[in-house]
Amino acid sequence: MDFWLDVTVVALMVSTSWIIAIRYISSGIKWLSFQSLMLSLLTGVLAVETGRTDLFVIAVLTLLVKAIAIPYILYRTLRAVGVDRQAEKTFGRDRLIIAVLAMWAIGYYVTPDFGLGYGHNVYLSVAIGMLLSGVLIMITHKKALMQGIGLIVIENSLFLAALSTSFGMPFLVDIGIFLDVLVIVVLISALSFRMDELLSSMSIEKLRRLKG
Amino acid sequence: MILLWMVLTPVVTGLVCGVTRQQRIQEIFHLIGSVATFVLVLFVVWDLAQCGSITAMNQFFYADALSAIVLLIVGIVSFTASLHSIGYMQKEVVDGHLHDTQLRSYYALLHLFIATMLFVPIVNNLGMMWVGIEATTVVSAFLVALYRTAESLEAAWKYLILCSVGIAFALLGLVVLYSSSVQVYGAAENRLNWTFLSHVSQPLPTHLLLLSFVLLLVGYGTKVGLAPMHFWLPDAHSQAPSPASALLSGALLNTAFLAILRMFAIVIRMDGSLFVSHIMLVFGLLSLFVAFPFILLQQDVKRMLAFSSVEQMGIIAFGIGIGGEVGLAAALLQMFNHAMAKSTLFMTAGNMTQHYQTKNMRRMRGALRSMPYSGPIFLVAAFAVSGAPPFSLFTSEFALTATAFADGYWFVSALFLVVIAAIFGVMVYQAGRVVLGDAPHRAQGKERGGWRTIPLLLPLSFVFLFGLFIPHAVLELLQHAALILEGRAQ
Repeated sequence: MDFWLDVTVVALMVSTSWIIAIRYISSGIKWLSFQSLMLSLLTGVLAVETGRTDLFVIAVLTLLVKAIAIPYILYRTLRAVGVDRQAEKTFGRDRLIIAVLAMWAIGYYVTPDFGLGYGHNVYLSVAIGMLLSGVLIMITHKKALMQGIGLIVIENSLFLAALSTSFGMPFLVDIGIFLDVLVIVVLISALSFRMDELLSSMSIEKLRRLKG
Repeated sequence: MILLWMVLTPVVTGLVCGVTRQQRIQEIFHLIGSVATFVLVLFVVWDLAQCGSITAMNQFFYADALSAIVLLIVGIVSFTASLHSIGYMQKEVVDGHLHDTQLRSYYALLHLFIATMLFVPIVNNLGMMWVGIEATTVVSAFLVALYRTAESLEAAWKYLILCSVGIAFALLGLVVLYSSSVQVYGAAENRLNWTFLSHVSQPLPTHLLLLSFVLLLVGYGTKVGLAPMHFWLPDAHSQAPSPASALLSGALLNTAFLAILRMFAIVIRMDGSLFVSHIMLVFGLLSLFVAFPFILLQQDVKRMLAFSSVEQMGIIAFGIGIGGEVGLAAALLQMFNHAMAKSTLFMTAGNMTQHYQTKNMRRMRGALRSMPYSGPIFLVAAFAVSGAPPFSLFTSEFALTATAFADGYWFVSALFLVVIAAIFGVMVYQAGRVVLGDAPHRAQGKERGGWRTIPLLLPLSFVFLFGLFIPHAVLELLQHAALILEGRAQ
């Protein structure tokens, strides 16, 4: 079982690092879907290991909401504005790769201080690294949809953090978070679509009217 | 059960308004729903003032004196904004700024927004509280984007992204809190409940507790608009329709503040160190300093009011940081008073924008003459919000500063007073520009009373009343809430 946990965690790291470096938004959405799928698998494995039914439900919900529904909504928006949109970045790919490696390192070095009593929790390190990488995605990308993807990466990382420290948040809270995330994605899609219509670009660099 | 009904009534009203096509019938449903919600809120607050706390639905809902204060604020502000909306939105439709479908979604979203804000103060589980606060962001972001202009789109985008990322850090704080709670007491569903965490005998590990507090403060602080996380606030407040701005500033900021206060109370109970108080003091003073130049140089009336909200949240944070029974009660009173005065200001500013057809204060003149209702109300509320006697904000700010000096915070209190005095001058100067002088020719028509102006007298009356005398029941409620915050009462 531990083998599968390790495989999914490595897959999470790879997909997160990859999303930062991709050229087209469409591949970003695909990798996001892959990431959520891995998260759902991880939850499933944990559910089998601990025999908890609520984790099973959460795993299935992760699959349905995060791996299928959210990427579908994002992809539909992307199709409406043109599938071949590039994910414009403010830095070159190699610098971003170095930055993301730094994020994993920071994630590793800050977590022992959490001191939860079980030694070094590597999954928590990965979660913090993912959180920082998600923020990095939002900072370095110019397209509105990519910022949405960054936000979902952050959500995924928090889910992993909760999973790694206490087998997820209380059940009802988890359900509430799923609902919130889903509605946020709908809103992000709607707003980026309007943005493209009104400003003929999804680039947030066009959002410079309100100042002072 | 009454707690559940209080949340469900606006949800149902919103859904009904969303599917009704005729404007007249829609307004009737809206009116009935608003009155019903307000009555239920008053009933719950009355209940809480009588018996201290209510638990419902297997501990899912829990409300105490602290919730009662926020509920009362949300209730009064949302009732006023709902009544004001009728007149304001009619004018917007007549002027061609909005069409039918937008109006329908406005009423639906308004009530859903109110429902989420009523949900936050009464949930027991801090995780559910997070869910509720995130829900307020989502619903109100739709409201901010209602006009579908480039500016409103930009404001909604900034609001959604900044608050979602900010609040993600709050969720991390909750994860830390939950996992340490599970570690110390063993796994159970109630480990994040306020009723559980505020009663525990053995404290959680201090470093985890403080880490969690800082993360929650940064996260919810974004939503409250504490500097330096306030950047979304002026944009969203200026671009939303005015009644929605009033709700954002008067009600939403306080609901988010409540989440910080709950965590504050938990840390005070378990740790009791001055660290959390000092960090509140720093954020409070910083907000005051940041807001001042922006109020001074502002040309857009609603942006000016928004920055004044940043300042007021700073004052409240300062009061919480000073602490002590009187300091905390004064901070809570300040919260109530600010909500009353600021929501009035936002709604009169909305009337003025419609009257002068601009938000630019350079082109607004002579509101006292050309707007016989909104002009005087604006002037009075502006004086009140900047803390002039005999209005209620003077009372709370005075009590706050007096406690600060009595507790020996000489330096910060002096700083606080200097900034407050400077902001007072600036606010009065800005309000004077708008209300004095002769009206420009474009805006010669006289304003008439009606839905747009009469409801504003409700919050304004509290500003007057609480400045002169505060009823005993209200004082008791404030004291009880302050004791809960201090950890000396349940």
